[in-house]
Amino acid sequence: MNNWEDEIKQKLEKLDAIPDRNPLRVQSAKKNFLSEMRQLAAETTVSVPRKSWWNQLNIKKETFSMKLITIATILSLLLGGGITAVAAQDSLPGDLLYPVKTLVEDIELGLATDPETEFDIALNHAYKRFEEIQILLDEDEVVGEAHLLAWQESFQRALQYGINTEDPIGKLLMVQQQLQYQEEMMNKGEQTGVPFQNQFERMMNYQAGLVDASIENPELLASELEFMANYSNQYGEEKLENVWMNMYMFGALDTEGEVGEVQNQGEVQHPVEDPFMWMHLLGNPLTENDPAGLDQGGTTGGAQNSYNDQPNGGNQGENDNGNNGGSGGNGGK
Amino acid sequence: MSIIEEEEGLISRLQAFDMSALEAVFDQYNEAIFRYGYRLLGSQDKAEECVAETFSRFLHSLKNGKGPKKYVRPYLYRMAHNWITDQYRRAIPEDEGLPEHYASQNDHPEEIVLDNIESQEIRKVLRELPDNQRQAVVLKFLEGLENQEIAIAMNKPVGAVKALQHRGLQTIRKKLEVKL
Repeated sequence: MNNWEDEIKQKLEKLDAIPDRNPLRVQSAKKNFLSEMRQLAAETTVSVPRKSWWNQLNIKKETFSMKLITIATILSLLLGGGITAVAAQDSLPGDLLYPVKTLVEDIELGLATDPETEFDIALNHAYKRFEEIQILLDEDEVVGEAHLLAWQESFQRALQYGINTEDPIGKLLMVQQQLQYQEEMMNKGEQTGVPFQNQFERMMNYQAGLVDASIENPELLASELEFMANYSNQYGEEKLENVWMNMYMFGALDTEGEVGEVQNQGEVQHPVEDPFMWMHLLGNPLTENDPAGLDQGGTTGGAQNSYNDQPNGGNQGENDNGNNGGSGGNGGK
Repeated sequence: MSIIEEEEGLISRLQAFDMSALEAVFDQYNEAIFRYGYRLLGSQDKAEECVAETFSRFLHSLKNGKGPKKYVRPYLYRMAHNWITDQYRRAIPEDEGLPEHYASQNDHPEEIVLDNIESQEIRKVLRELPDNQRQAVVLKFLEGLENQEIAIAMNKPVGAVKALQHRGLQTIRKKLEVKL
């Protein structure tokens, strides 16, 4: 052992001076723990399938063959395109090298092997999308729907990875913190009032509401994300994005027709403030509509059945592919 | 029998949300998590908060069908670590300095002051370390965990943990040379 290592360890021992805990606080800590434990023990357990939305959207690459492709791509980038890949890191949406940047990000994510790292990378990518929008604004460039949707997608990807870690609440808190920071940064801008700004604010508000509510109930977020994935699988990503953008442009009421048309649902009354809007708009355990009606198209069962916290809302079918699921839970409200 | 082996019997009871097992885990580890929080954050209030948050997340994880798969202690340290890292990102916590009882036990005020300054410096250096180096160093040299346990807590091979510890000590050395 080197002498310097011993010296450092001795210095670290300075931190061994730990104060005695206040016995009252120890008692209080235990009391709170026991209270929370009993409260949770009394709650009904809800099982949510932990299937990744992004797996379903074929964005995440997990197969062995895809890993090989990833490695081959990296090698080719290192050997032939290393400089291009580096140069691409400063590119912005619309630039020639921007697809290289996102490819490198996908590779980075694809190589991550544990959920913690995946989450860190995804959150970092979400921040990059925000920075890109900021730079575009600073340069008086047009910020289009594609940029906003890319930002939202990266954020929701971070959420997805976050809830698959061992510490979903901690990760959601981190996402919340980043979102708050981004909101602060946006509020510093001088462009309030332009249409883009309004849309982006609505997007941020929706994401913030979703994250806040998810911290209270991460399982509900899992269902929400899965629901969106199934919707995208059924009707295509473009349709999903249209509904989103209409919602952000005009508010939730104007999206009802869009969603209702697809679902043949009839009246739906949920404001955009509802953090779990998707489940609610598309037939959720809280509505009093006939849940059997949801499956008339024979396509939406999987997601709808993934969550039900209502006491009388049983009949949740096991369904992995989103097709031909059983009837959604009929809420007790 | 090592600590890790002792804990193996607990897991199935914890997964079944057995309240006596949960209480036993709290009793066994809350003090250690307090120490861990205090060493890194330098505040009794924050250390108590660390205990509360760690065990609350532990309960919620188990309730949601997650939680430790084999070993309890590394899992708790990982949760505490995540929370502390989050605190670092939010704001730099205030260091309370050495605890009061420490002064009363020591007759040399100049030593107290020097120790106080040094411990604050070291805490600051630890805060500046890369996340994984800090975790590997603190769990080993301050918390006294075995490398095997640290490897589980960090979800890394033992060899990688050792390398991180070595690099962590080197980084601390460099940073202290600059500061002191």
